[in-house]
Amino acid sequence: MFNYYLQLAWLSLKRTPVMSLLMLLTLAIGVAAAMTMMTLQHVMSNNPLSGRTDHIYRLQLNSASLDSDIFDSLENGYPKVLSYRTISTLLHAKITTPQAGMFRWSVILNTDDPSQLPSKEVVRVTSHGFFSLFKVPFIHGQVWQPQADSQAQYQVVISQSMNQRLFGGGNNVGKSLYLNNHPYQIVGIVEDFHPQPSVQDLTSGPFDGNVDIYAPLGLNQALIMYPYGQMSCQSNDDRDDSQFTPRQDYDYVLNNRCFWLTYWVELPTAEHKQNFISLLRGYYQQQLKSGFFERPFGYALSTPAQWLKLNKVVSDDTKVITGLAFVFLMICIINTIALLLAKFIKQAPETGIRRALGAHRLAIFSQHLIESALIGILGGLLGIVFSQLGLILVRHLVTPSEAVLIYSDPWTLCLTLLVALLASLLAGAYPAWRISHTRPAYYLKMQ
Amino acid sequence: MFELGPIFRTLLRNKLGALLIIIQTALTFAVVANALFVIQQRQQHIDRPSGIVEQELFVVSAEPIDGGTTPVPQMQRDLQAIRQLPGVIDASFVSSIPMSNSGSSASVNDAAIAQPSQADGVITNLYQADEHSLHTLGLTLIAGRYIQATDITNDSNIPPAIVISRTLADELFGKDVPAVGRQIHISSAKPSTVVGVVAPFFGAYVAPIIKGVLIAPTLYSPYASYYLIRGKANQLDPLMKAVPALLRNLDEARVIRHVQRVTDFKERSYHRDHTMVVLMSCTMLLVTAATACGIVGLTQLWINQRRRQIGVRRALGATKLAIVRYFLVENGLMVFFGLLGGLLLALLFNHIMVQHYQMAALPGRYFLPGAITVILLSQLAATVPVWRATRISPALATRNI
Repeated sequence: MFNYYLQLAWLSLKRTPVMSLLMLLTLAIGVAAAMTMMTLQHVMSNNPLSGRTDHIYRLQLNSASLDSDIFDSLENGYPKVLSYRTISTLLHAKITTPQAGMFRWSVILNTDDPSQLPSKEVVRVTSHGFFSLFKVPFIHGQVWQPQADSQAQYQVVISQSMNQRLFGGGNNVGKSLYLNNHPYQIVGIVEDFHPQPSVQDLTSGPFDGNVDIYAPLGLNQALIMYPYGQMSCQSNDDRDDSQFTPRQDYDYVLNNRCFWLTYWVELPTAEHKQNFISLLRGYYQQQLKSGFFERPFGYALSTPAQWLKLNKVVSDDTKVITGLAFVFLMICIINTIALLLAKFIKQAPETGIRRALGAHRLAIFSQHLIESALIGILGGLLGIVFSQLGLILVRHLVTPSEAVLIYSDPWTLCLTLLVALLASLLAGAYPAWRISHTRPAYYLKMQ
Repeated sequence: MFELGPIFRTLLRNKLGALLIIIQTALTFAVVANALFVIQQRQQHIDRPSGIVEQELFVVSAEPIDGGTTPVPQMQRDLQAIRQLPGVIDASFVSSIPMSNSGSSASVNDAAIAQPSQADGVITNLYQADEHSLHTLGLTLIAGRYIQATDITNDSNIPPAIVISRTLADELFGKDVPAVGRQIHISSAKPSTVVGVVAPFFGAYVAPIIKGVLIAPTLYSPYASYYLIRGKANQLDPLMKAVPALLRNLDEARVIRHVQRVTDFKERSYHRDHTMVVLMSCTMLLVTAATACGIVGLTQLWINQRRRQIGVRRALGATKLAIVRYFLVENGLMVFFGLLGGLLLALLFNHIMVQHYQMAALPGRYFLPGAITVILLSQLAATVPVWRATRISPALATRNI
């Protein structure tokens, strides 16, 4: 019977081309608007590390001052970044699972090749655990030794893209490049690690945390490295800055309430997590006594998905527009109900004859429901076309780095068809019911 | 005359169709009222005057190859050379690019308060610049004097003589209270004295959470330094090639970048708001268009169903106008109920947006334009099929009695 009803539905659509087209368009535009915004949200809330790394957590501490709110705290009330004291304590605390304390640093990059102009680059300065934590594979060489995390060793790891750009590819472990005119030895070459959004570091916006050069954390004291990104310092004492040398200034930053670093740790089991939290609690209570921390012990360990959400990568504005797009879809469904009702009533004489010849009410109902479903599928296909147009508009409106991400994946396309089908069934349910309950005699008389 | 009774009873008989139009009208009203409000708010935010001549400005950054900062005598030599270029109105050193949302901020307070609390601190933009910045940025001096070459220090402290914007002065000392001669504390031992006040302008930040700008006369910037160059708006392109070439000639061993107009940075800072305005406008238009189409369709359906009634009425002497009036009143009645429901919906939508999405509460004055839009829209939409209804010939319509 299904095939027969499908045939009937198709013939009925062809009989009233204008009305069918109107219904298709209404449904298609409504579905396209809603799905364009859904695609945007889906793409922006994409967790690029899902499935790749489980059980890694981003640490935050309750380190804001008592008498001020840093306006860059996240929704959970904790600041985004951590102090040097916290990072060095954790890195020295003999944690057995991979961990990474890091920040970004901007440098001038140079090579021995005179044909290459010097350029400004952003480097990730990190402890050695970064690569095993985020599962970034090495193509050549390996990461620096753990000592480089606390002593100055002039070594770097570069990405495959940087390797390609500087040397044309190949195994260049052992060669040198110059950062701020100082030579660094390349000890390893890794695959590009450019998650979109850059979950590992969201301190400068959702897409600016990816780098092509990595340097060991131990260099920061020797080179007086200030971070490229956010840093906020809180000082309660009066210092006359002109009396201090740059090194004394930097020591002040390292030892006092200045927050600028990021920390991730892998905690695969509940036991690891418990141990980590008690370690954290011990450190925090100690620092509370010494006055370094002012608020009671509080921490947050966020998975990559939670971290994305906390940082509001999908802005509130996007969510509001998505809501509006669904209101628009609702209006389109309402219009479709009206149009379907009109169409079915027009076909009522034919339906009357079928009922008089013995068709069950349910048969009439399913026939008309299948007709709605057909409109739904066709409308969904048209909606896919329209939503591509919608995505083109959206790509023009967002920043170029976001625009690259905005495309429909197969999941979204299937969802578009599903939404269209559901919308059409919703719209067609009442008209189909209404038609199946009319009295055949009335319409037979109208011959 | 308005035949409200018969119309109302007819609607009761056609409950579904009437309900569909009422729901559509309600949703449209809710969307239009809220969307108009958000659009107006965002556009106001974008249209705030900047206080500087951003169409005539571009920046260049020149960093030495060893990653350090350019020594002060070299900076002065660079800026002198740039000012000699034909077409350059003025050039100045600045620590951050205007309206780029990237810069340095600090909490400052009135030095006269002995024990300042958190509420006394004002978060402001720390903007390091030289004495040419008044003319380069196109600022307006409204009290006291601007910074001079003799005020310029070159260390990391905030200099003893500073200039602040009127916005910061209002926050620290009170609205329109004279600020020249007063002292400000900026987390270092010695407070600084305000020697001049300028009209409000945007420094590095456009966000309203940062109040005003504190201009510090120094050629030292711990994070970044830029040369800000002012030329005629239509002559910026050749200057944007000439200045980097000049700088490269003066000193090969550096990286020249960020050669961009200040308007580019302004656009990027307002980018999210602009996107919101465009998408909201599109959605509002789509919603009103969909409702209009729906009303046209349903009204046409009813007219088709009541051909006979219309024919009978016309045969009995009703004028064309009476028929039109009948249907418009029917439409108006539905719109009335729709607006009632829409009012509740608009408040509900707004409540959700305020609770979860940090939007502002909808003020009552947006209901009126929303209501007028919806009424006009539905009446116009209904007029289209109704006008054709009046041309139904009574003789043909009553044929099948």
